[in-house]
Amino acid sequence: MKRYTTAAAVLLVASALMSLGMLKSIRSAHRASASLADARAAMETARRDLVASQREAEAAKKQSESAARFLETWSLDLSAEASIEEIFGRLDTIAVNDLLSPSGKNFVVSPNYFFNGRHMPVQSVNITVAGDYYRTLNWLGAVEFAFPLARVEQISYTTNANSLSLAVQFVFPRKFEAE
Amino acid sequence: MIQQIIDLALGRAFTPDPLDAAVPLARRFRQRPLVAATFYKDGIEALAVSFADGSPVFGAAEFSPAGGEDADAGFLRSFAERHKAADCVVNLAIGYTAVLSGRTRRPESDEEAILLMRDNPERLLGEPSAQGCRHSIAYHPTHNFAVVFAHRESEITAAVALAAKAELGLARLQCGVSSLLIYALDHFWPEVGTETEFLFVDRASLFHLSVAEGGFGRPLFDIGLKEAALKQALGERVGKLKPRGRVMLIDSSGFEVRQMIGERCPEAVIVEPMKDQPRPFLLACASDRPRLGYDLFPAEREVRPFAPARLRIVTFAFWGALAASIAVIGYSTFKGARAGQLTGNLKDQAQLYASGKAHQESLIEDLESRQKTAAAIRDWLAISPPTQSLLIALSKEIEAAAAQGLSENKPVAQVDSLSLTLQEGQPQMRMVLVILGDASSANRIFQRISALFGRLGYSTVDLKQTLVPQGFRYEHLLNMPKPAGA
Repeated sequence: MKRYTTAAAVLLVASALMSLGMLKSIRSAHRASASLADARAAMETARRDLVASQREAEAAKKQSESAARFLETWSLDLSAEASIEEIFGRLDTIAVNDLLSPSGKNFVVSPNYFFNGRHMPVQSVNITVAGDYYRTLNWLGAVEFAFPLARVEQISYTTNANSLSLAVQFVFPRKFEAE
Repeated sequence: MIQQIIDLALGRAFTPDPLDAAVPLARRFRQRPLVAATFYKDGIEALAVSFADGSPVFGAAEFSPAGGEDADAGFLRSFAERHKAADCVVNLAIGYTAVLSGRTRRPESDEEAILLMRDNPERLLGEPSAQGCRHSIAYHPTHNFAVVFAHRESEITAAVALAAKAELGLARLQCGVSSLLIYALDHFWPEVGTETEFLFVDRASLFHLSVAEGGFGRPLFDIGLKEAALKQALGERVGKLKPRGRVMLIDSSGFEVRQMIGERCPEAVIVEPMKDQPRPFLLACASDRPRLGYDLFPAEREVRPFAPARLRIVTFAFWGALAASIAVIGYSTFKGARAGQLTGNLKDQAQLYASGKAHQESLIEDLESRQKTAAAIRDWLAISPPTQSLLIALSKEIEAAAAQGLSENKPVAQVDSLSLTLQEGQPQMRMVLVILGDASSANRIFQRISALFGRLGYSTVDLKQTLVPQGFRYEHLLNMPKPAGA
């Protein structure tokens, strides 16, 4: 008996270790099952979220249909009024057509123009035309028609002995995207 | 140690080593073939031994006359091979003497008896052992007397060498007479009564001992006799029996000793407790009840230790734990791997859903951004009223004021300069108007213009009127009308 005491102890320890390993593997399997359940729940939540976001997107698409059409309408004007060369050219052309003499053209880019409670990038264009008063009115109307997004920030009529001049500052928006 | 662990784990430890003298012979050879060899002076008798319910059962005997060590070993080997045995029990029927002793000490246990007799016999004998001899002891059941047998080591060594030459393990080496005496005293003591004469006879020897309640007589023996000499010795010994005494006869000689005693001592009471046992000496050698028999093997045997049955639970626990571990760990591993795989798939799927959701959210964000952009453009347009129409309206009012002055024959004022400035960040417009003329005509123009702004929805915030050379300067800060739908 005594000769086998150590051997029996070794076998019992080995059995205990195997039982321990068994328990550990059971725990590991339980953890894996729990992870599976969590993953399943997460997948289900993600699926529901996707369905909800798809519905929201559909609704948003319907809501923004008019905005899309509006933007489509104005996209050409936006792109046309982005080029300063084109603006100057057309301002000159319209002035000449109205028998006015343009002068003093310049522009300033202002990244933080404050409008309607928010900042936005704009370019301010200054031009002076001289000539008959009514022709300046026509010119102004023609410019507003040609550049519907241009905002007349400032106009100033001055007269001297020989003629009347109109100094105008237009503000062209460069970007309308929300901040 | 490692070997013991393996033996215990495999259960081999519970099967006793066939050469382990500390384990009963019946247990060692319960499922293992065994042969028994009785060594006579003139030859060897061999027979197969099996065990039924712990009792030995003997097969047919074969006798081989003494023919030298090689021939004897060859006989034993071939006999053992035929019976598929690898071990043997040797019954020495030769080479002993027996004396009466009152000095012996009883051992505490059978195991102690075996060990002491092998390693330190004087502690049992009570005196130094005889030179060149090994001993066995038959104790009186109730009194401190014993018959001490001395066995010649030369005979023992020869028997051991012969067994080794025959390639047989020596499971037990005993003196048949000694073992039979011990067996008879253990099993048939109630038959002894006041006094009984034991007479043991086999094919070549006889042994006589007077056994009384309180002691033993002197043991008498004749060994290694041929048939005629044995008959003569038997005649003499029977002639000396007490005529009306009690005799315990154990006879395996085949000489009708009972009849011989009956003829000589008709009034004697003959008890034959092993009458039906054809091999009483071998039976005694192969028995372990009630105590383990002495083993005359001269040296310590290298035997595999024997584990008690109560340690079987350790083996069961080990294999049970191993099997359970393999099953559980295998199942758990499979389950875990499967769960891991499914978890991975589900995570991938959740990732897909999440990316889909992110795409939808990005789409919504884009749409919202476009809506905001559209709203911003709309606000821009709404808060940037066309200027031409305002100027035309102003011109008309100025002309109307001039016309009114002319019609009323009053002086007419003249507009020298006009500026309109939108206030950045404020829904306000500053108008600066310089009119040349007298106060009433200048004021008339300004009043009409103010009235126009009022009709258009402008409201006055501040108004300053200052004098300029030949006229007046009006600086009018106006709140712009709210855009439609605001």
